[in-house]
Order: sequence, then C-alpha cells, then structure tokens
Amino acid sequence: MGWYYTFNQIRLSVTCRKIDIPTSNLMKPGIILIAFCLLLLLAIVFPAFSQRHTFNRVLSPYGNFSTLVGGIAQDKNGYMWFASGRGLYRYDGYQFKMYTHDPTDSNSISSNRLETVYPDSKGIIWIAKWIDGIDRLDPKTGKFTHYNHDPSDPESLSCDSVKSFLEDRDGNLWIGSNKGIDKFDPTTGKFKNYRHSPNDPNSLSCNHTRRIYEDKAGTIWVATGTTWGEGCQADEGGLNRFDKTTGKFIRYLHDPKDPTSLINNKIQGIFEDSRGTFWIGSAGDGLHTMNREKGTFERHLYDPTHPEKLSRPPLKHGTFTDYITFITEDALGGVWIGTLGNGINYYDSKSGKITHYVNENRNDGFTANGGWTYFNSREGVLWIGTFQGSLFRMDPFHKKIPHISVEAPVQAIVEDGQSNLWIGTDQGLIRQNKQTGATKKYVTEERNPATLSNNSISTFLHDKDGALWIGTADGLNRFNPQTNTFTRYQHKVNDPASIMDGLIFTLEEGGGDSLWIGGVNGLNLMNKRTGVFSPINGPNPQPLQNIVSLHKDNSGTLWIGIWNAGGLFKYNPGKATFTHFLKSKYVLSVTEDSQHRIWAGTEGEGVYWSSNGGDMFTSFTDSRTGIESIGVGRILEDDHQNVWLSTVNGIYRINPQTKQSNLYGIDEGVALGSMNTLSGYKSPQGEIYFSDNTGYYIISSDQLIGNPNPPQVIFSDFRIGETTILKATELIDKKSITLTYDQNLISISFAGIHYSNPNYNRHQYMLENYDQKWREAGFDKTANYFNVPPGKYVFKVKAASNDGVWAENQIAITITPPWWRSWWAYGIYGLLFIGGIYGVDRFQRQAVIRKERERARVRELEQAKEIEKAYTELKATQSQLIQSEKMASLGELTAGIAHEIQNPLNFVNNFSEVNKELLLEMNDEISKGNFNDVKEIAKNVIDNEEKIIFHGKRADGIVKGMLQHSRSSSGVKESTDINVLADEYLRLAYHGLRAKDKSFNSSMKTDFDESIGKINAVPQDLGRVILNLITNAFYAVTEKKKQVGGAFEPTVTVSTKKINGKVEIRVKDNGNGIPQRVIDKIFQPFFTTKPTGEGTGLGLSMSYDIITKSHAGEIKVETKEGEGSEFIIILPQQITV
Amino acid sequence: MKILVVDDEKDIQVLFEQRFRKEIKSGEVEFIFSFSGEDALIQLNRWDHEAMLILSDINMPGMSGLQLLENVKKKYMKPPPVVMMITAYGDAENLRIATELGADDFLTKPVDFIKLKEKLNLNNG
Repeated sequence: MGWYYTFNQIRLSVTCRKIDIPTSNLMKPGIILIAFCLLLLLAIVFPAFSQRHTFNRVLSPYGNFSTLVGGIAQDKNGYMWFASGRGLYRYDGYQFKMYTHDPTDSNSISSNRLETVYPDSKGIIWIAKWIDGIDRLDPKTGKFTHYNHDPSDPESLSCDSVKSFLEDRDGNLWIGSNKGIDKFDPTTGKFKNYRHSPNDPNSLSCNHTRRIYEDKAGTIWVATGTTWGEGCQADEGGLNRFDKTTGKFIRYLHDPKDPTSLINNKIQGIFEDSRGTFWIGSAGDGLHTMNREKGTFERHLYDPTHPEKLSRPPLKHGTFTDYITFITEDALGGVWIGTLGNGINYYDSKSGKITHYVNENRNDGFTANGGWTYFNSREGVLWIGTFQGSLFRMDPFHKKIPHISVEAPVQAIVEDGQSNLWIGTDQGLIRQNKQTGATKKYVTEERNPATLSNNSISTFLHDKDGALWIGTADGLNRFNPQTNTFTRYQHKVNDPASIMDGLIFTLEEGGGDSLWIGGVNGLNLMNKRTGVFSPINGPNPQPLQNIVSLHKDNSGTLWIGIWNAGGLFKYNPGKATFTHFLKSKYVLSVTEDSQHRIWAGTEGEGVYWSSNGGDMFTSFTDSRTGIESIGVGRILEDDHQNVWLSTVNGIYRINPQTKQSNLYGIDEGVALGSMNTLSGYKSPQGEIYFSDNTGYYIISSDQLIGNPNPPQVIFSDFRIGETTILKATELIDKKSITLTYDQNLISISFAGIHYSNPNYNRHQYMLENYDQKWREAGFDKTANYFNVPPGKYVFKVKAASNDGVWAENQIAITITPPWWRSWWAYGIYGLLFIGGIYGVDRFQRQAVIRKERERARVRELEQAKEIEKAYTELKATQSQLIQSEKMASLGELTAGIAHEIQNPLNFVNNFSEVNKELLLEMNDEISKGNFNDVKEIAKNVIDNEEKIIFHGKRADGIVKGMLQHSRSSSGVKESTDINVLADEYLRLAYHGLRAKDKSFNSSMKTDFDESIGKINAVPQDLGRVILNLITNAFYAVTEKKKQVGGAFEPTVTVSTKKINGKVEIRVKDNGNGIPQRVIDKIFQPFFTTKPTGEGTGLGLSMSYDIITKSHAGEIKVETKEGEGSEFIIILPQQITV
Repeated sequence: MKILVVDDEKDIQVLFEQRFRKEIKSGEVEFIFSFSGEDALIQLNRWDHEAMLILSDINMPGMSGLQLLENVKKKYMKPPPVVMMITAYGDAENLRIATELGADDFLTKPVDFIKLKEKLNLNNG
C-alpha cells in the first residue's frame, strides 16, 4: 500500500501545471509585488491539544449484560467479576464464565438480579442481590451459600435489599442495605445491625445506605439517601462518619442556611484521592470537597459560561436519574465524576480542566448516558458499568493523539520560530499562529511572481539563519516575512545555474551559505547568497534520481535516501565519495538520533538502523507489531530518546534501549491508511508533528508513555489427562507440584491478566529441563505435555501486555520415577545380573548346537536363488500395481476435494459480493461527505479482500495438491513444508472418507512443531505416504467404533517434531492396534487385513520404499493390541541420497 | 430473531456479520456462532429459554451437522427449534438423512444469501 501512496504523491505533484516566469525578475526584489494572500480565519479548527481518552466497550458472549452492570471487582487471581441484572460474570480478558440461578441446584446463585460483587481478602466472592439477600461464593468449591433476612432471628441479615460491601482494615465485613449497615461475623455467621433511630442523634441519619467507604485514616463513612423512592423521603439521607468502637455516627446534612453544608442529602459518591482530597457526590449540583477536620464542604458548582471548570457534568434539571453516582481517580491521578443521567466528567488536577464524556457523536467510544459503577483494576484500567447494562474499559495511559483538521491533505509542516506553524497542503500554504490561532493562506497567482511557484507544497526548511524555504512540486521558494511575499527559484532550460527541474522532496542545511536540495531529478547544492545552483552527480557518475530524504550528520556527511530501489548513499562532500547501503531498497527517509545512530525508513521493509553512524544497517524487528514489513516514512526522535515513525499502518514508537515498538492506531485516534508518511517535524518544544490526508497529529511524547504496568501471570487450570486437579484459586499460592510417573499427561492453562487491550497480550511458556526454548502459546493458552520422563522440571510462563511489558510466573513440577527405577529396584537388578552370568554359561553350551543348524541354512540358500528369479518377475507386476494403488487412493480423494473446495469458494463468492455492496455504499457516503464512514467501509473492504485472497489461495492449493497426487512422481526433491503437507492430506483423507461413508466420524488432532522449517523431499511421494497412513488410521478407528460403539471416541492424531536434526512425523490412532502375529508383515507387498476387494495391500509397502529408499529415512510402527497404533516416519533434514 | 450459525470455518462469522450488517444494525436478527456441533449444543443449553433458528453445516470434524440435528430434534428441546442445514454436496443421500432427522430446510454451499434472506423473510430492505 505504501508503494502506491508514494507513487501517487509523486505523480500528483509533478503533473501540476508549471508557470514560467523570467528568472531575472526573481533576482530583483524591488519588482516583487505584494503577495496575494488570503486571510482565512477559522479555516482550521484552532488546536485544542487536550488528549481525549478512549473507551472500549466490553461485550460478553452472552450478549448484553442486561439491565444493569451493578458491580465490578477484581479478585486475587486478577479475574474481573461483574454483577449484572442477568447473573454473575467472571472475565480474564479472554473468556467469560457466567453464573446463573439453577432452580434444581441449591448451591447455585439464588437469583440473577444482582446489585454488586465484592471479593474479600480471603478469596471469597460476596454477591449482593436486588431483593434476595447476599450470597457467598467459595471459588474452590464453586458453591454459593445464601444469607437472607429472617424476621424471627434478630441476628440474621437485617434486610434483603443489599447495596454495598466493605471489608475494613481490621478484616470486618460490612453490609449496607435499606435497613442501615450490618457487621458480619464469619465464625458465627451472625449479623449485627446499626440503623437509624428517631430519638438517637448518634444513630445513622437514614436507613437507605448507598455506599460504605473507609478512608486512608481508617474512618468509615456511610452515604445514605436515594432519589428512587423506595420509601425514602425527599429530604432524607446524609453523610455519616462512623466510629466502629463506640457504634456512634456523626451526621452531616444539608442546611439551607449554611453554604458550607452539603447541597443535597442524597449521597452516593465518596472518594479520597491520592492527594488526600475528600470528595463527596450527591444529587443536584452536588460535587463537594470536604474538610474532614472542620466538617465543612466546599461546593463546586456547574458554571454554564465556564464548562471547563471543576464541577459535575451539566445538570439535567427535574430528572431523578441525574445525580453523582461515583467519584474515583485513575492511575494517572485524573479524577472521574460519574452521573447517572448526563455522562461522566474527567478532571485533570494539573491543568484544572474538565473534559466531559457522554453518548454523542465523538470517537471516544463512550456510548452511554452515564455511569453507575466503577473499578480500577490492578494494571490501571478504569472500568465503568452503566445502568443500561453496558461495560467499558479505559486505559488512562492510552490517550488519543490529538488530530487537527485542515481543509486539504497536509504534505509538510514546520515552525518558524515566531510561534507560527506552517502547513503545506496540495492546495497552498497555511500559516497558523500557535497562540492566537489566526490563520493566513498563501496560494500561487499566475501573473504574480511574488507568490508561491506552485500550490503543491512538498517540504520546508527553517534554516539556521531564520529563513523559511518552501519546496514545491515545481520550484523552491523563500518567504520574505517583512513583505509577506515569496522569492521563486525555478528551473530554466537555458540557464545551467538554475535549479533542477521537477518536484522537490527534501531540503537540508549545507555548510556556510549553502543549502542541499533533493528532488525527483537529483541533488543540487545552492548558494543562498548568489542564488546559483550546482548539480551533484552520483557515483556512476550520473545524476541520482528520486532523492526523497537528506540528512547531514554530526560529522558533516550527507546521507541521501533514494526511492525507487536506489537505497541509501553516504556522501562525503569534501572528497566527493559515495558509499552505498541498503542497495535496491526503496528508502523513504533517513535521519540521525541523539546517539548518532542512523535510521532509514523503507517502502514495505520497515526501518533499518545503524549504531554510531556505522556502516552496518540492521532491520529493526518486533514480531508483536510487525514493524519489519511495513512502509516507514518520516523518522523523528523525541526528547526522551524514543524514535517515532510515520507509517502506512499509523504511528509507531520505538524504544531503542528496550528494542520494543508500539503502534498507535485507531484506538489512539490515528486513522488507518491515510498518513502522509514523508512529512513530519519536531518543534523546538519537543512536540512531534505528523500529517495525513485530513490534517495533522501533535504528539507530546511525555503524554504517550504507554501502560508501564506488567500483566499478572496466573495458572488457571492444571489437568492430568482430562481431569482438573488444581484450579486457579488453588494454584495461586502453589510453588510446586509432585506427580507420579504415570501422571505424565499434563495440561496446564495459564493467562496473562492485563486489561489494557487483552487481544494484544502475548504468552510464551516452557518446561525447563524438557523444552529447549520458549514456545509461543496458542489461542487456548494451554501447554500440553505427554510422556514426560520422571525428573525435576520448572514450568514457566511469561506474558506481555499490549505495551510489551513482560512478567513471568513459574511452578516447579516433580515427576517421581516408577518403582522399577527406584533405589531398591536397582538392588534387585544387581541380583539379576549375577543370575545373568549363569545364563551366559548355558548359552556357550548351546552354541555347538547352533553350528549344526548353520549347515542346514546353506542348503536353503540354494533354493533362495530360484526364488529370486521369480521375485524379479513379480517386481515388474508390482510396478503396475503401484499405479493402480495411486488411482485407487485418488478416487477416495475426489469427493473430499469437492467438499474442501466449496468452502473457500463460498467465501470468495460471498466476500466479493459484500465488497460490491460496500463499495456502492461507500460511493453514497462519499457524495454525502461522511468520510469517517468511508474510512470504516474502506477498512472492511480491505479486510474482505484479504479474506478473498486467502481463500482463493486455499482453493488453489487444494487443486494443486490433487494434481500433484495424480501426477506420476517427478522424483525431484524440493524444499517441502511437512506441516502444510500433512495438514492438507489429513483434511483430504477425512473428507474423502466422509464422502464415501456417511456414518464415518472421527476426531482429528494435529500437533505441529512450527520450528521444523522445510525439508528436502519429493512432495508427491511423501504426500502419498502420509495419506496412506492417515487413511489406514481412519480405517482402524472406524473398525473399532463398529465393534465397540457407544462411548468410544475415534481419534486420529498427526504430529511433527524436530529431534536432533531429524524430522519425525507421527500418525496415531486409537483403533484396535495391529496384532503381534502380523506386525512383521505389514510392510510387505500385498499384505492387507482389509476384506478382499477393499485394499490393494500395496499402500504400506509403497510407503516403506518411498521413505527408506528415496528419502533415506525410517518408518516404524508402535502398536498395542486393542489400544491403537502409531506410525513413525523419521526423515533426515537434508536428504543426500 | 436469534440465529445460531454452526460451521467449522471461522470466517463464516465475518461473512455473516457483513452480509447481514443492516439487519444486525436494525436489530432484526442477532447471530450467535459455534464452530463445532459440540459447542452448538452448549450454546443452545445456555440460551434455552429463547426461540432460536439453527443454521448448520453438515461436514464438521467431531460431531457432524447431522448428529447435531438428531440431538436437537430428538433428544434435546421441546419444542425443537427450526433447523436449516448447509451442505457442500447437496446430494440426495445427505438430504434424505437430514429430512428423516427432521431438518426444516436446506441450503447449499456457496451460500446464496439472497435466497437465505428470502427464507428468513428479511428481503424487504
């Protein structure tokens, strides 16, 4: 995609019409007229550099969370818990587990209408229900215990409408309900109630509690009052300070005469922030900060003329749903104020400004009317649940990069040292004052030589003397600030001292009064004083072409980046010598960082870097972001030594120290596929500018630090065979596990818990002392080990967050040896050895007898010669039969291929049709001007195209596979991917048999070692062998199914593995196995156990020949009667025979 | 209308979501996807109070579409949901077995979405 972009830009700019003006005019400033300039106020939205947050909606596979996400919490394992109106959910970032009421199971949750959830420090999950009391879930047993109000028992739960929990620092569990608060005694299971008493001024001010909160000093606060009716009077409520030793409350209530009292008695928000500010949120215009010593409140009222001032979100008068639901603080110290009816406010304590988020036409992702509940999970993600059942997560470390809209594509950007930002578009030049926001537009005027030479601005240079130079699609211009005019430098056919023809890509400072100019037609050095241009030839010596980037490094060397497969030149101007790097690469940019490393961006091949101006360039790779294979344009270093790249995929940041890269894409507000990758600028203040087709981005690097917190790595399940022996809650404190030798079918599930963007979390694992290296975890995040020999191992998992921060966890695993390998067993072996010596003696005696037999064998040999003759004849017949075996197996495959090919065709046809519809839709949107929608559609179209290509190739592969199979073998060895081959034939065999026999069914399992790489083999022949083994395996399991039926689950497993430079392919079935009496015969021609007419009896013998003779490999079988067979092919990686 | 789509091809989800994007947006249909017959049964269990239409492929590893159909129609639910089978063959044998097992309708691969929308009464927009 990048290639097209650059190409288009060159073409677009070069074809701009030229205007011929006599050069002599340009040399005489007196003739220059006042430039035509347009004052275009508000042509650009004045930059508001505040960075907005991105909210991501979290959806459960069970659909909407229904009416309410009432409670959000995180347990010790890192699991998130959500209490909703539809049941209880557990979430690890990847999967949801749902707990709902089951009327037949008294140990299930007793109701699905939940109010909140609270994991305590002992790992117990407490659940409050709307009107059904509370439940206690013990994750170890998965059982729910129920607590309800019992009118006959004063020590039971005092009310079944429970709103909140708090475990205080002394370990007491407090329960807030519609009847005051209860203290729970876990040993007796009894509740002690504290409630309002009309005659006791030291009792709770109101029984309708909303929140119980413990501040940092350990004081307990109780928020009361509700606007929801429920028998709560209009003025009832208040804030209470609770002394748990005396059981007494101090009330804080609204007093109309006292402006330092609460503004309203309905309280739900209580929060002490990291600066020690104590926030109270109530109904009405109810944002307060409280002085806890004096008991006074400061009201922060909403001011419609200053909506940026600290307050709750704008008030919606007269609605009982509009009140403050929560106040909290994110991991970066920003304060969040939630209301039920009118969105949420973000308060930046540093700038003192408010940002309002509500469901409106913005790209923040907060598509709700307000928030009901919140939670800050361990890595710093803020979760918000709503009354309508939506759930959002927001990582405060990932703010959007501000994007400023400009009316035309921005191709270059610079500052002039006078607080002006110069924006070069393809339709003229815009000057924008950074302080006032005033803008001025400059365009070319045909008859006026004091205007720009061309409207398509491609590059700027603000030189060391303070002059502003402007490169365009046709000519160079210098801005004259006093007169607001331009001096043009354009190519003149008959003037060898004029500038080269065509588009200028780049400008760079030269020595003294000189200036370097790179463009489509080469490299010029300009004398700024005389206005004379000298062409600089390349090493050939021919003019270099397509110079897109120039950089003068600290040693005075000029680096020249050349597009169009030109690579990178290092040019020494004094000696006029060239050194060529990155030959044949399309270089888009070159720059130097503060450590004097040279960086070069390329078209489609990522970025290369060289340490210390050195001569070795290496590709910067990061498989997580795929940076090594994209188009990289402008490269800029920020003040924190991070390197920023403008690429076709968005903006990348590289940390050269850690060698990690981060992509800033859609979530960070960067539109895909529209970057003008050649443009970019770093301001003296350290801001990085990049631009795209609709404007420009401003990056303040200290605000884009990424989430520095590592994931929590947990083990979620430990299985032996199919049986779970340890769950997450038991594994959390487990350091080691001991197993016996026969418990060596181990499956361990694990997870890196980090909610910033879990889709981008990465997992690796290894069993130390068994695995050679880390293995990349699959989608199921499960490691499976079979037949691990007795020994001591450590199972390690490491996980990275989307920001590439790694964390590790481990568990020791000991597998004890069986009795026959224990110490006392070795004692017995000693005794047996003595017995052995006796045996040898006997053997000697028998040798005499054996000699006699030898003589008999000589006679037999004579007979064998005759047999050999017959064998030669037989061999001729056999080769004919081999051909018929091939045809027979092809017949089996045809139906399979038909099915296999329909699936990709289905996608190719349908995705093509969808794309047609989408493009029609896009046309409509373009004419309506909805470019956001257009981009969205374009992205879908691209995704679909990728699917079409993928499935097209897949169909192609199937047809090729079939042709290859039917063709007689070329016998030529090629580099062959064994995994692909095995997978293909497994599917073909399966569907082939399925087509022949409707009742046929079997599980297919594969375990491919991705590290094998390619081996040298004859693919048709090897394919035939694999097909034959798989077909046999399916036959075996089908036979067993016929005999056993019922519970038997037919399974065929194909696996590959690299062992000591050899490649092993295993085909395993759980059929009946091969009887011991025929095992020696199976590789012989014509031997078959199938009924007459069903098999040729040549499959395995042919396989044997292919493997052992033409591939110098081994084929063997391990089998156990009644339990199944496993065929093992061992091939050398390099076959020399 | 809730539709459970069962197919071992994962891309089927994107395809359906795109081909039905208008209907999904307007809330006329809601799709749930299962990539195996076994998972389809779990999904049905989970949603057992809701009326649902099942659209299933026949050829899948493990539990085949026909086995799923049998499970749904004979053992599983009352009243049994409407089941539409998708097959790559469209051959008489599969058709016969599926009809015997109580399939309500058939589609062949490549899926003709216009036809499918007709069958679902969604072609009005």
